[in-house]
Amino acid sequence: MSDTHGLSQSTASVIDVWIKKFPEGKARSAVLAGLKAAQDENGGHLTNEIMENIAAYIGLPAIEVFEVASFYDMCEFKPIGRYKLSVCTNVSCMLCGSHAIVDHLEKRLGVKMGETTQDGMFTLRDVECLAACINAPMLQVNDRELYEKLTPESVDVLLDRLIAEAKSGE
Amino acid sequence: MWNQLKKWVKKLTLWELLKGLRVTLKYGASKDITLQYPEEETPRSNRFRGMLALRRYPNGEERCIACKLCEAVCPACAITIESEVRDDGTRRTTRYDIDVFKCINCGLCEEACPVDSIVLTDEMHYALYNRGENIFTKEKLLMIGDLYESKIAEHREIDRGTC
Amino acid sequence: MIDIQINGQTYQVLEGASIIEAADEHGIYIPRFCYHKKLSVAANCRMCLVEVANMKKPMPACSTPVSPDMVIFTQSEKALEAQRSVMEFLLINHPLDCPVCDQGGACELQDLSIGFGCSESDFGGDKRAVDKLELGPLLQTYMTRCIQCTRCIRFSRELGGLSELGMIDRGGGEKVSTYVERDLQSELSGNMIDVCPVGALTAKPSRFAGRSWEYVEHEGVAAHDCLGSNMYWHSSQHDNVETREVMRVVPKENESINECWISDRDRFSFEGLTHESRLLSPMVKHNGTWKEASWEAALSECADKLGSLIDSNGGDCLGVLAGPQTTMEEGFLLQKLTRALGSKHIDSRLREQDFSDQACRLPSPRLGCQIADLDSLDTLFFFGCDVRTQHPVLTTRINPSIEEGLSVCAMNPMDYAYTFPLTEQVVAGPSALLQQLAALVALVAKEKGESAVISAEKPSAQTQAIAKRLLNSEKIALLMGEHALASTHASAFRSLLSQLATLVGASFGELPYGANTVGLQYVGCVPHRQADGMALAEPGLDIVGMMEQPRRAYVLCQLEPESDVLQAAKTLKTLDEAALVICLTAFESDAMRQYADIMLPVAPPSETSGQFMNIEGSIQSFQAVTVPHGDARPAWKVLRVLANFLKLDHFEYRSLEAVRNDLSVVCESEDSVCELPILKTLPSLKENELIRLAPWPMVRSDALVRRASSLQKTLRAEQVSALVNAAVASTHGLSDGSQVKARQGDSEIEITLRVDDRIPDQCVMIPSGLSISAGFGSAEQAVTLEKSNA
Repeated sequence: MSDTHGLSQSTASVIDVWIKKFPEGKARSAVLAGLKAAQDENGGHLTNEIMENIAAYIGLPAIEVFEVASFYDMCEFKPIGRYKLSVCTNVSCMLCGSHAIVDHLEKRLGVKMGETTQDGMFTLRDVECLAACINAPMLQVNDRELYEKLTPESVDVLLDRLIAEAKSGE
Repeated sequence: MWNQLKKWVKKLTLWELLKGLRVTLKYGASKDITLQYPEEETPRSNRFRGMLALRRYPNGEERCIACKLCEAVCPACAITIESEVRDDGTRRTTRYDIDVFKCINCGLCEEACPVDSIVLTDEMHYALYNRGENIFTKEKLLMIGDLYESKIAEHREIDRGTC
Repeated sequence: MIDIQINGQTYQVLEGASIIEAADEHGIYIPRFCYHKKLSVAANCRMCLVEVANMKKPMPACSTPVSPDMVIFTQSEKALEAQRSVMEFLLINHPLDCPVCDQGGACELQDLSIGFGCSESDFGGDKRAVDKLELGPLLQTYMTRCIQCTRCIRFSRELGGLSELGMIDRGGGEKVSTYVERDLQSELSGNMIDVCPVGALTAKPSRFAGRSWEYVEHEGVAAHDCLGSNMYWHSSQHDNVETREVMRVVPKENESINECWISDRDRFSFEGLTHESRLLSPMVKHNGTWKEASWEAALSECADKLGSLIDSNGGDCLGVLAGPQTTMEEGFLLQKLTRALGSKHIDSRLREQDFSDQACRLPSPRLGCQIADLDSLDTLFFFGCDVRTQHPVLTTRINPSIEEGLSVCAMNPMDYAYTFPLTEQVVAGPSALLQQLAALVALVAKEKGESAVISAEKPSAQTQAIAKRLLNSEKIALLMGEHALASTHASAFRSLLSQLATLVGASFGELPYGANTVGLQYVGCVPHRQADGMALAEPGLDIVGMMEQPRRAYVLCQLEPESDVLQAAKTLKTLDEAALVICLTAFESDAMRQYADIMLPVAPPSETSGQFMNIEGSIQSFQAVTVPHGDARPAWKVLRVLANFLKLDHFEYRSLEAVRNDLSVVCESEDSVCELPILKTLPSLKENELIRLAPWPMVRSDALVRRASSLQKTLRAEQVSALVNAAVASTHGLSDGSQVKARQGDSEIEITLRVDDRIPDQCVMIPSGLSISAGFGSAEQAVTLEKSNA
């Protein structure tokens, strides 16, 4: 597969790696890995073009890639902030006070759940269980790092650190 | 002897006649129950099944959605419906004819209607003078519905929750 | 076979079958939504839960295989409770709009809700609503009604071959959707209406027109392709008049032909039946003006004019053409009438132009195998065949077979947009195609150790790959499609293909156009054979000959020459010059008003009884849905009475059955062995010409379907334009989207040009049957292109 169908070499090679992991003829199993790689590369969200390119590269109809992308919460279809804060609002977290965390975040950032701050720094998401009930309430940053046993104070610390990190990164 | 005397007394005093007249006198003295129809009428139930009508919603939209359940249920095959997609994309009748000669006023159509569109009003005074007038068209039925709407609504209010 | 117990009865069932298959086979009903016997198992509706002994939970019958001595209860308290609960779940979000739903009265959800549901629900919250999906002019969607059974998705992927629908989002927000909103491209999309168990997908053309309980169902045979798909007409009656109107068409199950599918063309062509151009009374032209006439007057005028022409010029002056919707009985009477009048010139092969091998061909074309045999092939080889648009129902057999190891090879004059993947394909212009076919035959002969009968060019890499595939396969079918049949080299193609079939031990067959082309040839509507199949020593003129040596009089039965024949321009010119043209037709057209002298209204397929013969050679009869509209009459009656007016003997048929009996006695010809001539040298090929490929788009193939308005809206831009590849466009100095003049002899049309690299060099694709290309030139022959000034 030398033609990458508009995908970057790195995304294409990620897909190639995943295709090899599955039996022949099951190339569709590499869709999710491809979406994740392409999304990271595109600054956190997917476009129709990316999904079409992945479909063409793997040899699937575009709708089958879109099915996967729309199924998973971590696939975004609109530009999002630099940090995506996914706050769990499922039962365990709710019982341990995720409402307070959500209220605090909304108040501090001045946006509602599902929105992005004006400066493009944070996007708030409420998500279902992320399997850290033992340390509820919790949130996840950019689908990677988990922050547990949250209190409004620890959230403030986290936000300050992220803002500082973004500033120093610039 | 005594019997003979009794017989003669009855004969002479026209006893049997008086006995008959007693009924007459009794009813002559009692309250009059004859009604001077059509000036006077007997009261009718709010469920009386009279002339047919098609109702509208308060905003003027016709209720009928052309589901054809009344047509299907009508035991006399009196209803004829044709339907199509109206410009706004809703399902509507282009034709809703009831042959009132065929109609037996059984009320099954009213019972079948999911939107309370076809109803039987309590109106029973209507006459036809020409051939063809027995077919109540959609326009006519809607007009009847408009005329009788307040009465229909009133009767439905009485019936609310009783069935 | 293993023994299982269902509801206390012991049954023998196939090992490996699912519980629901085993139960269906023995007539035990298990409720289901997502399970469909022709689709893969999804097991997502859970409606088919049954109790299995020794299993703690109820099991889905569609995805649980039977095992020896399994004990199953479909009606036990546990099973019924499970089914009731599932029904309750399914109805949480299903709207209660049955009165306005077109599925109402014929809805699986309604039926199962009554049979297995509960009248009350524990859920009282708001129902969810899903936006409508715009899927084009044929399908209306109400996605709120969808119960996510995924039958439509599985149909489009597994049988339609186009993955157009998918399930997006998850959980409570899950919905069926397309990737980008656009019209469905499938020629089989209407079948999704049938597989949808609720009213989420309904037919747009018959939307809100009636309810299923008012329709009367009539068995019918699809009248647009040679497969003879079985279907039902659904008709209703308006205004207490005698005629019934067709309201919709649905498939009828026939495992050996169409299984349970029909094409969109068969499903929605009924709209044409009520087109404004329907001819409803006999028309006669006097001094250039058309007047309505009574049947008596029109037929006596026909008889007078035809009789006097034949008296003065002999029967030889008559030419007769029959269109493919003419039934076998009508064809039989037509050829009997023609021959009784002393003419041999009758033809029904409207889309062929090479008849040089007609004496050696089978009396009527055949598939070479049964349609159902296509399921179990190793290799299928298409030659010049756009099976997707011409015989869409066949692709419902090919697509699932591909999964099971079928490989499809093709040699085509353009890269047709098949819905299934091709293992090998050769795309070449007509002359190069002949070269490559000859090379393929030579190569296979060499490999088989037989002496090559034909010298050919070097085979291309793809041709070699096809040869390898054919040599390594056991069960092979070769199919010659409508393009190859229409070609000027058809006899060379046929000869080479039959040689190839003998070499590799394959079946060889043809896929001609039209519902009854096969039947008409069988009953003798050909110039070289009589009704009894006996070859004539001196054949009459075929359709090409009739136009090259013009006749004085013509009778046209159920065709529109301007759009239905290959040599449209020449045919129109000849008809214009003829002294008498009698058209038996269901529809009139402007062109017909020009060339015809008498138009007799005959019944279209829904309004006549008769028989069609399909490509397998099986004869299927059907009854009329209604008495014909207006003054139209079935063509067999018209022909019978016309023969009486002409004072011909042996036309005293009192009923259609009498014609049918006569036909079955006369046409009892055994299939004579087909010995095609062995092609020794290739016909001389002209180079450096631009050859016109002229396929008929699916929705323009015959007079009825051309008038079906919803189907016309499915025509895509590339189906109404001239297509050339980039190289041809640049040598002609043409660009994508420009207007071009296509010229062939005297005839000329203007059409939009599109650049499409599916077309090989030296070819231009100008579709036939369109209103712009009506009466234009000849198909499969050279044209010139130039930039339009306008």
